Amino acid sequence: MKKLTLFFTAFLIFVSASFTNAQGLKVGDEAVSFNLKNVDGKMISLSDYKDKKGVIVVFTCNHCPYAKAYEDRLVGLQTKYKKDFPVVAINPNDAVEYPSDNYAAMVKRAKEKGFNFPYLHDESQEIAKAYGATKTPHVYLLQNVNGQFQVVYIGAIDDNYQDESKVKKTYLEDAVKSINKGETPNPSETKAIGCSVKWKN
Amino acid sequence: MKRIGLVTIVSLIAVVATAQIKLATLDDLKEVLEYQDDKVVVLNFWATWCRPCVKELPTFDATGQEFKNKGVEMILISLDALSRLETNVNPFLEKRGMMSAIWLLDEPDFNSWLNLVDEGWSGAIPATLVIDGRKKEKRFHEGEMTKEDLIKLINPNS
Repeated sequence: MKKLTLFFTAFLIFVSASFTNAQGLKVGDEAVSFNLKNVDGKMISLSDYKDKKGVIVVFTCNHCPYAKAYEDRLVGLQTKYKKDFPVVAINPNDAVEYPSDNYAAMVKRAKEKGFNFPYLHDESQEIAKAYGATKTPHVYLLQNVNGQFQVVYIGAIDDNYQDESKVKKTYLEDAVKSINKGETPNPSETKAIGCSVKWKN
Repeated sequence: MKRIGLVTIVSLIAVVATAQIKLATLDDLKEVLEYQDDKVVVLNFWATWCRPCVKELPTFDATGQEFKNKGVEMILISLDALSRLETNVNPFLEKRGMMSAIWLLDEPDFNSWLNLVDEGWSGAIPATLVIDGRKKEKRFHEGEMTKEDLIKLINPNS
């Protein structure tokens, strides 16, 4: 009987572990580290941010209108929060099917728009998969808890992609402020329409 | 005078060709999410700039026509901004000449309504919801679909 229980427990752990993997990260999970090429040619990894309070990880891209709509707002967030919660943008799209999302195009876009944050190329798409990013833009706010990064907020940047002046709820910024005050973000998850991540076949 | 007549006719044609688009609100969406006895409603969320959406639209339009007499209603819901109606959406529809009902839903506070459609919707498009009034059941799919996938979602027993 004991053996059976043990077997079932092991089985349950296995099932839930594979389920978690398929679904990506949830709020409360430990963040997945990465080491990806930035538009300046240098590699950037999550561990480079050990001395920060957290990191704003944004899966985004060049071609998507929703992603474009938020470029200036990301620059603004970086200006405001780079000291404690810097922005790291990651483009996971298949650059073969979508050439406007290839590395050269990313370098160009970052220059044109004056990106003041790293814009990393997730060429293998493994980081987007590990995080569970499904669309662009898709935000993961990470908090540094004793040297380990933990997911504290997932979702949208705010509630109006079309017109920044009509934004009523600044979800991401509110979450950053909550963490800064030692509080739990509420909501810790929001949803927004985005362009699907263009997976390789 | 002749000129005015011509302009009127041309604009009338334009109106007729695009008469099928409905500027929908959240209330319209909430209403259509309610089960209707003996009716199956299919909602497909798309946008003119979304390549995978545009690719699957003809399949949805044709399948909607095919199942029309079997109590299936197809509604293709564009999430383009209202500001793109004249510049992008209407020209697109005129070119494609679609037969299904077309809505434009410009409700940018997505977080306030995505879960009403389906709790499992991450927000990526295309996305499709079947509201099956016969079985009182909703079936949802995020991502592209083939015709076979769509027919299975409309009628899982097929």
